[in-house]
Amino acid sequence: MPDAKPVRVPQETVNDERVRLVRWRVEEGAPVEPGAVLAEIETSKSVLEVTAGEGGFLRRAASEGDWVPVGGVFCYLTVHADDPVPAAEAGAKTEGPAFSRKARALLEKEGVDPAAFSGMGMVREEDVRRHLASASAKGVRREPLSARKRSENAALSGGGANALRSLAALRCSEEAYRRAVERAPAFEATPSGLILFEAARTLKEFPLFNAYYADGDAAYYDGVNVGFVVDGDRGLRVPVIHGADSKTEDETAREIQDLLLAYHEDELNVERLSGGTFTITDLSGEGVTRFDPLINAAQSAILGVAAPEGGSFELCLAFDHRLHEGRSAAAFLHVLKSRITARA
Amino acid sequence: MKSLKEIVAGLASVPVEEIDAFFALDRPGLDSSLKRAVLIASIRKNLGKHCMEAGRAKTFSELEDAVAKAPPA
Repeated sequence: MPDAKPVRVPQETVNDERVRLVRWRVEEGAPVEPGAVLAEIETSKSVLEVTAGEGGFLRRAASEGDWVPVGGVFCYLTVHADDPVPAAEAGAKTEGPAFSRKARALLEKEGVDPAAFSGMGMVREEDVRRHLASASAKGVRREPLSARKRSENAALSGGGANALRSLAALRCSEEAYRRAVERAPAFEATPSGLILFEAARTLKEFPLFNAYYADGDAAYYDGVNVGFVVDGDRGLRVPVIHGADSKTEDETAREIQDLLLAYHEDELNVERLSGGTFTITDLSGEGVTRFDPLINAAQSAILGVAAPEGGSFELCLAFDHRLHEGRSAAAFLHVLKSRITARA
Repeated sequence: MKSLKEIVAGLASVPVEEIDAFFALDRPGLDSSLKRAVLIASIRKNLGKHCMEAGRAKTFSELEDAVAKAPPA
């Protein structure tokens, strides 16, 4: 059958052992001109068009979806539409997934059974690596994080990703704090509001703690907007008291209560959650006696209020060492503590 | 605007019908500082009263008395 010219799968990429015949572009028995596109094949890299090197009548030797070895015949071009074609060559198609050379090498190196990929078409190196990773993670259940948690992570990553984080802590008398709150009845329902109130004034004395690091500069905020962390039924939120340094005790206490109500009713809007220049987080109710809170984005410090232990509790100041030092952090804490205990 | 009973029922997550004079406000779930602050703010928002004593009331009856005596917000 000298008139049946085999058309073989070209070696488009050295990584492939075989390719998949995606789609015929010429009908069985139809005439083709030299250069005409005969079919589309899928390699490990892309889908390619295979063209006719010469003219003739196309005689298919494989079906769409078949895997054909590189160099194997997938069709013939005959002189006449009804010329016979070799039967043996038409059987070149293969079953099961095809592996790129790198995938095959990794399979053999790791001793992975190729049957693990049954049902797949072309198996690439990354497919094998993914399989190895999932196999090593057996006993692990993964669930996507909530949008709220992702958003929270983004905010905290922004502050902590590049910061040179450090922590300073100072103990404060529980009794002195209790007496100070008693003398500030506005904060009876929200005692840590007193710390927020005094922290806002301390920030006026230490404006660098009301700033953030920006490309070699210290970016100072004009206003003192103190956020406080709430983590209840609605998840973690940081409502902000804008202009906290200029509000009275009563105004501060009422605003904290109003923000907590908005949190409870899930009505905290963007305005109430944004613009913070400093943050306070209180884990005293959780019995945590010391912690290292994460600095929020575009801020350089966060104050943690810990639970009492042995008659005192810690004020924990996490700060960005690019702007602050341990000594300035200690000075900030001492002034804050003095402002609170002076009320006792 | 919510009534005092509706405010407390909402915070306690119970039907309004369960709120009577003896309804305890120091029960788990209502005794946190967050809930007390929310109670004070909710009274101010719905009833127009600034009632800091609300945070100290142990029963609904005590709360009603405190709100009655509280000044306007």
